[in-house]
Amino acid sequence: MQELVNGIIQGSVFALAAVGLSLIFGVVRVPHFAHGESVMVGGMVALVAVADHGLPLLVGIGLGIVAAVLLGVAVQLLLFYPLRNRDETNLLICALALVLIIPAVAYKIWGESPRIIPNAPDGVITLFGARATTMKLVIVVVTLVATAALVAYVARTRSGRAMKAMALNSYAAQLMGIPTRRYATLAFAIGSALAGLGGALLGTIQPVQVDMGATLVLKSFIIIIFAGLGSIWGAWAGGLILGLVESYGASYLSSSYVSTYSFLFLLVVLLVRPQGLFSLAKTRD
Amino acid sequence: MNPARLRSGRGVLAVSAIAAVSLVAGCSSSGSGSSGGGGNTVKIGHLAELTGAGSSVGIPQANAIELAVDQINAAGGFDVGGKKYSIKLDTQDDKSDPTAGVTAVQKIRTGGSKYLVGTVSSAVLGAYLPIIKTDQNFITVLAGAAAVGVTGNISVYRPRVTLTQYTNATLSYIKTNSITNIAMMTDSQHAGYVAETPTFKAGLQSLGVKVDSAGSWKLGDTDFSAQLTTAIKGNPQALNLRGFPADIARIIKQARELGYKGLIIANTGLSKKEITDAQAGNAMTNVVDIVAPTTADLLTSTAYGAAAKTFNEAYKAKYNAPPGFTSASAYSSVNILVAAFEKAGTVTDVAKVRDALDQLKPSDVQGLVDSVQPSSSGLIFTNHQAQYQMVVRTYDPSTGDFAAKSFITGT
Repeated sequence: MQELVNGIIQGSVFALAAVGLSLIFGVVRVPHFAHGESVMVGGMVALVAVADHGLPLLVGIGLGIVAAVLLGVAVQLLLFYPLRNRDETNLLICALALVLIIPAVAYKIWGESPRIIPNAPDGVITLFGARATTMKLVIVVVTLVATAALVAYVARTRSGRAMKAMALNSYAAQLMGIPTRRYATLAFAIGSALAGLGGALLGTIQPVQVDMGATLVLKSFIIIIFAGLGSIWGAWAGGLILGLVESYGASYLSSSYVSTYSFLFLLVVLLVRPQGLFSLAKTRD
Repeated sequence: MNPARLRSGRGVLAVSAIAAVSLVAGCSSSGSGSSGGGGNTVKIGHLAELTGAGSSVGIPQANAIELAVDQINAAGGFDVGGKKYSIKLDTQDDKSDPTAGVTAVQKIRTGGSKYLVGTVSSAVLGAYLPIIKTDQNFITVLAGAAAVGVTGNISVYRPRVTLTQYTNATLSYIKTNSITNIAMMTDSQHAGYVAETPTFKAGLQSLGVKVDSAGSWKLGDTDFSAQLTTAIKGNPQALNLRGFPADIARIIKQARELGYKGLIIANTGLSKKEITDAQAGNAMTNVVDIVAPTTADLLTSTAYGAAAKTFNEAYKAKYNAPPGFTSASAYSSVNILVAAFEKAGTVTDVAKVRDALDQLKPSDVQGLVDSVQPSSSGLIFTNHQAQYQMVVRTYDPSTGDFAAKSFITGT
């Protein structure tokens, strides 16, 4: 039972990052490897606000979200949009460069000591014999609510439907009069906000550090590949599955290869079901 | 002329010029010691973990080395054969990474240093050891890395504990406290502890202690719930954790969150910083940390109390923070090397300096702030390795830090 709870908690952390990336990747179709850096910046700003400036936790989380949105929008407007008509290799290299540049700048600003954001509730709840802290359960619930809200937004609002059209065919959407630049930027803002929220919440249970982004974005890409591109619920479910695979793998196989299980699982899924677990045609939401 | 060839020709010319300048520069600094307009200096390489996962230990260690050098230079240097020498440190960051460590050591050697101080990580040491271990014209004085079996090499001296001492002290504590079953977790990237695990397990077996589980984590990991769930499943009487303190502070916190209330025996050197960074103060009840003593632990020592107090005050005045886990050994290592230069009467004849190190007694060294237990002949080193007291440390909620509870000798 503890393995199940551990897996769901860790999976929710992965899911919160993957859901935002799924939106960005689905709508704008750029390899936004720096999405993990939005998670890091969200966590770092929240940490500094709460630990160093004594601000309340909720204010710190809010500032973390704002910082992540600013970073995401800046990346879209200053890098991906100007490069939109260039060769895909250019995009790829620039996206990878950000993964090196942003942590280096963050290191200069914040240093690299891994720190946990203080003043979060530290109660422990027992469920069917398994234990979890209050903040871990908050993360599970927030991830579920945020995913449901994003799905509802994409399905039921005008701007959400415009993003859906862009995800299906950006050129055709532009021909239909949809301002694709505006909605691409909005997709970056929403996806980055989720990343910032994820970073700030994650920072209350695990330490925030400047090099945390790369691992998270790698797992996010694994999730959206095996879950199926474009599916927001698929990204959420994929996150949970990845968390469970790592949790049970570490408990019943070996804790030495926790990260390896993600890649093994990805390979198996791609061999058995190349279109992903939650196939695009049926579940694009 | 083809412009491309012209550019290529200029490029070759430029590279040749740079190579020539480098060659000339290299020729002018082929040895560690030198004299010139600025006086006599000895260049000492300094391998430091200023960044990366080991930096919480590495930065205070590097600070202590810098402090020792600054004090020696400020006092007018040290005396070798009637001449005063000062020290020029060549500090290189190994980034807590073995590959970067090898590059850094090569750079130090290319820069002309015959002596090396520092090194926190056993993994980094293991990576660069093949380059220097048989070099009779090079000496490295380890200040932190505790991997077993390295001081059998001609170029390696260690005024610092080995992991065997950690193992023996921990086994002694387990025996004294009649512990019968234990779960172990080890940092899989800590080469020294990984190599030491079979010895530790054999020691536990000889005491009749059952090992419920033996898990691992990777340096810098943040979530340990899977490993801990396995470790505490059998409700072990004690949980043993071996690795770097930042990781271990987080593991202890998560172990308590998962409901483990038993004894935790760490071998790491926890300090207030790591505990605060992990927000783990409430989790430190019933935790003991069995390690080499810090200077804070030695304040009550008859032999080293005064030196420890002076060092603590100087460190705090310069860095506005208390010394770290390996700071004392780092500070001592520079002073030991200087004492060897003075005893040998040379900074350039490495063989003589090595002989002097072999004959060094604690009383020869000014600024020795570690709990060195001299050999039966009264020497600091036995086969290049010094021996130390070990300390059992417990958490003091009033200071938010660990402090000495008892000492273990004869390990």
